[in-house]
Amino acid sequence: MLDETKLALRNDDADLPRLNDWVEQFGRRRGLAHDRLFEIKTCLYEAVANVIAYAYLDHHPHQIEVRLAIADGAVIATVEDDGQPFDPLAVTLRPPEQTIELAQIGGRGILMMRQFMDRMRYERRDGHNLLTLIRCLPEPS
Amino acid sequence: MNIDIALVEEGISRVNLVGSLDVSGAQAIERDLSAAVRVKQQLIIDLSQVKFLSSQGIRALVVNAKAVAAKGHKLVLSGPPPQVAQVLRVSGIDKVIPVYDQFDAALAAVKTPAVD
Repeated sequence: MLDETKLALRNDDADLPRLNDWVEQFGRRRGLAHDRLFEIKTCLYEAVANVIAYAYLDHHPHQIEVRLAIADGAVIATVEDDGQPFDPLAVTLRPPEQTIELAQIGGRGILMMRQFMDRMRYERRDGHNLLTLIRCLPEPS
Repeated sequence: MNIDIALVEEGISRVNLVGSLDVSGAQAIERDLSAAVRVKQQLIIDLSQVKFLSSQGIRALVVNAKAVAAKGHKLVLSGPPPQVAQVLRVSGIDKVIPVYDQFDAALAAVKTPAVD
């Protein structure tokens, strides 16, 4: 049976701490290693913060649904929103800068997701963005 | 996020950040630290009590580091906990803002004159 849990968030920065608390609770209840939990929490935060900041052109309330599951030896996190289409996998990242003067100010959230996760998937379905983040769990010893 | 700015010695200030450097933490930095950057010289940002660092927090650090560098001064980071240090590495920030494990090393670094 799929071990899945869901959380509905508003497109409001004030809901982001609730996301972190929920991910922490998910990880603790399932005994996830601290490092894995931290990586998942960081990447989900980045994904949802991006949606809140950029997905909506109107000022209306929207619901963002986040799902967390453990299946096939991995944590699978999904973020679903009804904002404008955006595929973070299609973003071309600039090479890292070597000086503070040349450093770009933003754009590091997607880099962090790509670095921390083992796989990412994006699809546009029925007017919704579905971003899936997958982080493999270590083999049981 | 709580921000406490204290003068360490003439021209050098220590900025203690306590809490999460997330969206709201970044807003707090925009509000409280940016004003200090305009009047302070060398800055050591103490991250030892930061428990979470998001890309919005990184953005706030980069903005302030650029402002300090533009005045010919230094901004360095000190004492990040392991997971915060990991975010600094993964995001490449440790290549553009110096990071020191210990405050004393950070202090020595800001005292060292810049080499052109």
